[in-house]
Amino acid sequence: MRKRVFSLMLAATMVGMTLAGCSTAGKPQDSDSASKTLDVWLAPLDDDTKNNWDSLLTEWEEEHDCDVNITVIPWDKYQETYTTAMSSGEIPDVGYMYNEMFPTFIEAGAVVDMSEYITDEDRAEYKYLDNGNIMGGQYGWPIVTGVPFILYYNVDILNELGEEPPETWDDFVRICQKATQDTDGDGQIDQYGYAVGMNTSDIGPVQILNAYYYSVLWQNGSNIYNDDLKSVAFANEAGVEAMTWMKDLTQYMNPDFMSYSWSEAFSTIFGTGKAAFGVNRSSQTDETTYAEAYPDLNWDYVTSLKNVDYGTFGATDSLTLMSAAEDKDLAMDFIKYVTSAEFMEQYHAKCPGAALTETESYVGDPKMERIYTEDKDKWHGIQVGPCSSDILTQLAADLQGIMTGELTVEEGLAEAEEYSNNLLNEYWAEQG
Amino acid sequence: MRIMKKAFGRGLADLILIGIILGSIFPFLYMFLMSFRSTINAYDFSFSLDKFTLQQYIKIFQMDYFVNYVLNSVIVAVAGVLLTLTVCSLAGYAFAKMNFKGNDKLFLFLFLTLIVPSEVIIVPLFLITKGLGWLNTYQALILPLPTAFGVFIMRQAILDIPSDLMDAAKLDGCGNLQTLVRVVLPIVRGALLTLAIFTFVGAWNNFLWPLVACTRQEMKTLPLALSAMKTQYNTDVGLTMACAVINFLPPFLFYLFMQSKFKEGMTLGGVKE
Amino acid sequence: MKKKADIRKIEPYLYITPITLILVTFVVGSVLISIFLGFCKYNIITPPQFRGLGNYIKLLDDSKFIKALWNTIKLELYIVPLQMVSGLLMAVFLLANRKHLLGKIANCVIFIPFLCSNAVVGVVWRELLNGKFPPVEAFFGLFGIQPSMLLGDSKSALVVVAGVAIWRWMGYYTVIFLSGLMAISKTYYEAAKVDGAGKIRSFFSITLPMMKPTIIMALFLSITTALRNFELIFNLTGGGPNNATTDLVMYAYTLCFKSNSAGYAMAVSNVLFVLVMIAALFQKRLLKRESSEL
Repeated sequence: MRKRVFSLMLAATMVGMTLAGCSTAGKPQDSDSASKTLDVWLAPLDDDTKNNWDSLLTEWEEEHDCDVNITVIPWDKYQETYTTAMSSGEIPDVGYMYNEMFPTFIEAGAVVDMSEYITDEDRAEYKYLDNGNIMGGQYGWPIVTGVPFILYYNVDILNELGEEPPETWDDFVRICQKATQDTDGDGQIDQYGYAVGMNTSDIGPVQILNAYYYSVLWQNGSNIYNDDLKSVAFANEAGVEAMTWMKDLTQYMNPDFMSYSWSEAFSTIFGTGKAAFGVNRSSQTDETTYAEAYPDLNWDYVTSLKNVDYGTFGATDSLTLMSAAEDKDLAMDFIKYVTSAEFMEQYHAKCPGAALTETESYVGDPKMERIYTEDKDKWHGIQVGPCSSDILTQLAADLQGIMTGELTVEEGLAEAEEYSNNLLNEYWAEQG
Repeated sequence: MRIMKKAFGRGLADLILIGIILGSIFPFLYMFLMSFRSTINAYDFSFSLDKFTLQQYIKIFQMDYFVNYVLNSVIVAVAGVLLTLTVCSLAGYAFAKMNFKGNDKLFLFLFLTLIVPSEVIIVPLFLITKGLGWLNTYQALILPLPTAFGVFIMRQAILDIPSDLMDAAKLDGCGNLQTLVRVVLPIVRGALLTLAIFTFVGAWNNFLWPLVACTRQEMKTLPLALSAMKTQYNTDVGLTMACAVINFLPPFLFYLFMQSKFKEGMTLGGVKE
Repeated sequence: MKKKADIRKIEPYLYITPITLILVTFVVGSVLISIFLGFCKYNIITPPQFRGLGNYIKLLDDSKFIKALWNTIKLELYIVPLQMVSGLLMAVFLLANRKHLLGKIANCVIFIPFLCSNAVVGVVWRELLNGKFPPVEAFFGLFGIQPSMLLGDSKSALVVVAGVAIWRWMGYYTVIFLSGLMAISKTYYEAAKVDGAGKIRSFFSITLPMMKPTIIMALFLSITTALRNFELIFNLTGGGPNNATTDLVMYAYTLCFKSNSAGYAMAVSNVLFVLVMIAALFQKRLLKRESSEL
C-alpha cells in the first residue's frame, strides 16, 4: 500500500516538475557566440537534410558571423505548418515553398518580391529564375527543379511489337492497343499499354494532375487558366478533346488503375514489366536506382509526346524571402549562396539534383541528361493563379469521376469549370 | 460421441483464435519485414532474407538529435499519462462516490466533450495555445491530452467498488483523498493500467498537433522527426517502414510492460467476485 | 465544525476542477471559438472578418458538403453496428477461451492494431490490398473479390475505410465489452444453468440485459470514434475517388488548410458538432435511466 502512495506522489511531483521545467526547456538552445541568427525552414530534400546542410554551411556562417538554424518541415502537413506559423508570428527568415502554395502567402504579404535583389550577373547565372516569377513578382528563388514527369517505355515490349519509341498521340495509342494482350494464353489480359494510378492518397489530390493530366492538356494546346487568370481554360474545346483522349485510354490501362497511387502503379505494373508505358517523376539517378529496384526491366523514356505541342509537368520548389526577416540582405545572401554552384556542387554530390546555375555541371546518369539539354523546353511548371488549390482539387476529383465513368467528360469538365469560375468571379470581385 | 463433439468445438475455437491472431498481426509482419529492405518498390516483398539490411535502422539511429526526439516523445507521453491518471482518478472518484449538486449534469457535460473530433478543432486549439503563450512548450503538448473518456473509465471502475470498503477506511479515520489513494486506486489498478495504455498510445501517435504547436527543432517529437526523413522523390519503402516500426515499438513495449502487470489482461472494471 | 462541513461540500468540486479546467479550456474553448469563426471569413493568416450567416447559407448549396455529410452518415451506419456486434462477440469468445494459450495470445495481440498510428495503418493496408500478395489475394478470392480493385471503386472504397477502421478499433471495444462481461456475477449463469438454459439463451436473457449500460456507452463512444478516421482515409484513398470517401472531418480539414477558408471550415465542423450532439442527446434518456449503473 505504501508503495502505491509513494508512486502516486512521485507521479504528481513529476507532472509538477515537467510543467515547471517547460518554460525553460522551451527556449531555443543557446548557440555559440555568433551575433546573428538566420532561421531557415526546409522541406525534406534528402533523408538527412538538416545534417547534410549544416555540414556544408560552416564556412558561410563564419564568414557572415551568423548562425543558421535549419528546421526541416515534414512533407506530411507541410502547408499546414506554414499557415499556422504565419498566424502566430513564429516565422522563419527564409522559407521553402512549392508553386501552388504561393498565391495564399503572396496575398497575405508573407513573402517578399526579390526582384530588387537580382543583379544582371544573377540573371545570367541562375538558369531557372523565371520559374520563381509568380503573379508578377520574383517571389520564389528556385532551388529544386528539373524532375519532370516523363513517359517511360518498356524497350522489350516495344521491340516485340516492332515499334519505335512514340512521338505523337497516334503512335502512343497504337502501341498501347497492341501491347494490351494476354501473353500467357490463359484468356486474361496480363500486359497493358499504360500503367496508371489515380488514387490520391498520401500526397494529396493534385498529384494525379501532375503525373497524367497536365501533359495531355498542354500537348493539346489548352491550359488551366485563361491568360488573364479570370476564368479557367481547361474545359474549352481543346480541353474536352484532351480529356476524351485520356478517357479513351482507360481500355489500355491496368484495370485497377483507380486503386493505385501513380508511384505504386509505376513500380507494380510498369516496374514488373507488365505495361508498355508508365509515368514517373524523373530523377538524374534513375539509371542507378532502377537497375537496383527493377533489375529485369529494359527501359527508356520520351520526355514528352507531341500533339499540337510538347509539354509535361516539372515542378519547381523555391526558397522564399519572408517578410518577417529582419536582415533581408543577409537572408538574400544566404539564398544566393545555397543555390550557387559553390554550395550546390557539394550538395548534389551527396544528393543528386538538377544544376541550378550555368557554372554547375551535370552530375547525374548520362541516360537522363537529355532532359536538361535538348528537351529542356518540353517541360515546365503550372500557371500560378488565384484559388489554384481549390480549383485543382476540384479538377482532380472530377478527373477521378470521369475516369471511373461516374461522370461523362462533358459533365465532369463542366462541373469543374463552373466551380472554378464561380470562385474566380468571387475572388476578382473582392479585389475590386 | 460427446467427446468428439467437444474436440471438434475446441478445434473450431482454436482455428478462429488463430484467425484472430493472424488477422491482428499480419499487417505488422509486412511492416516489420519490409523495414529490413532497401527498395523504392513497395511490392518487392518476400520472406526471403537475401536482401536483408539494417541500413534503415542505422540511418534512423544516426539521425542528428535522435535522442532528443525520443526524449521529447517520452516526456510528453509519460507526463500525459501521469496527468491523465491523476485528474481522471480524482474526478472519477468524485463522480462515482460523492454526492454533490449537479453530479449527473456535470458528468454528462464533460462526457459530451468527447464528440469533438480533434482534427476539426486544430485551429481553435492553436489560437488558444497561442493566446496562452504556450507555443513551443511542453505544456502545449501535454495539457490537452486528458479526455472525458478517462473520467468515464475511472468513474465506472470506482462505481463497482462496494461502499463498505470505503466506509471501513473512513472509520479508520481516512479522509476522502486518503481513501482514494489507499483503498480505491489499488483496487482499480486494472482500469488505471488500461487508461495509461490508451493515453500513452494517443500521446505517442499525435502528429498534427505537435507539428503546428511546436515548430522549434528542439521541441520536435519522434514521429515528426521520422516523417522529416521522407522525401518526395523515390522514397525508400524500407525506410518508411523502418520509421513505422521505430514509432510503433514504444507504445508496443509500454503495452507489453503494462499487460504483464496483471493476469486478467486489460480491463476497465474494478473488483471481480 | 461548520467549517468542516463547508469543506466537505466543496471537496467534490475540488476533485473535478482539474479535468474540468482542462476540458473547458481546450475543448469547450475550441468549440466556442469555432462557433464564432463560423460567422467569419478567416484564412488563419490574417484576422477574421465578420460575415454573419454567409458561411451557413453557402453550405446549403454546396454539393461537396452534402456528399461529405452523406459519407459521414454512411460511415457511421457501416461502422457503429458492426463494431458493436463484432466487439461483443469477440469479447464473449475471448472470455470463453481465456484459459487456453491461444486465447491468451489472441487476447493480447488483438490490441496491437490500436497501438499503431492511423497513418501507418492506412499505408500498410493500402499496400496490402494493392500489393498482389498471394495470401491476401487468396483470402479475398474466397469472396470472389480482387483486392486491388477495392480502393478505386467509389462504392467499395468507403466500405474498405469502414472495415479497416473497425479492424483498428477492435481491441479497444473488446476491452470495453470484456470489462462489462467480467463484471457480471457468475451466480446468474449458474442459476440459469439450473433452470436448463443453454448458452445462447443465457446470452440473450442474462448477458445482454446485464450489459445494457456498457453497450449504451460503447455505442456512444463508437459514434464519436467513427469520426476519427482522418489519417486513415488520407492514407488509403486521399478522400477519392471523386470524393467518395471524404467525410465531414476531412472536408472541414481540407477547407481549413488547403483552401484557406477556415471560417467556412468551422461552419462545416459546427454542423458536425450539432449532428453528433443530437445523436448523443438522443441517447441521453437511455443514459439517464442507466446512469446509476453506468
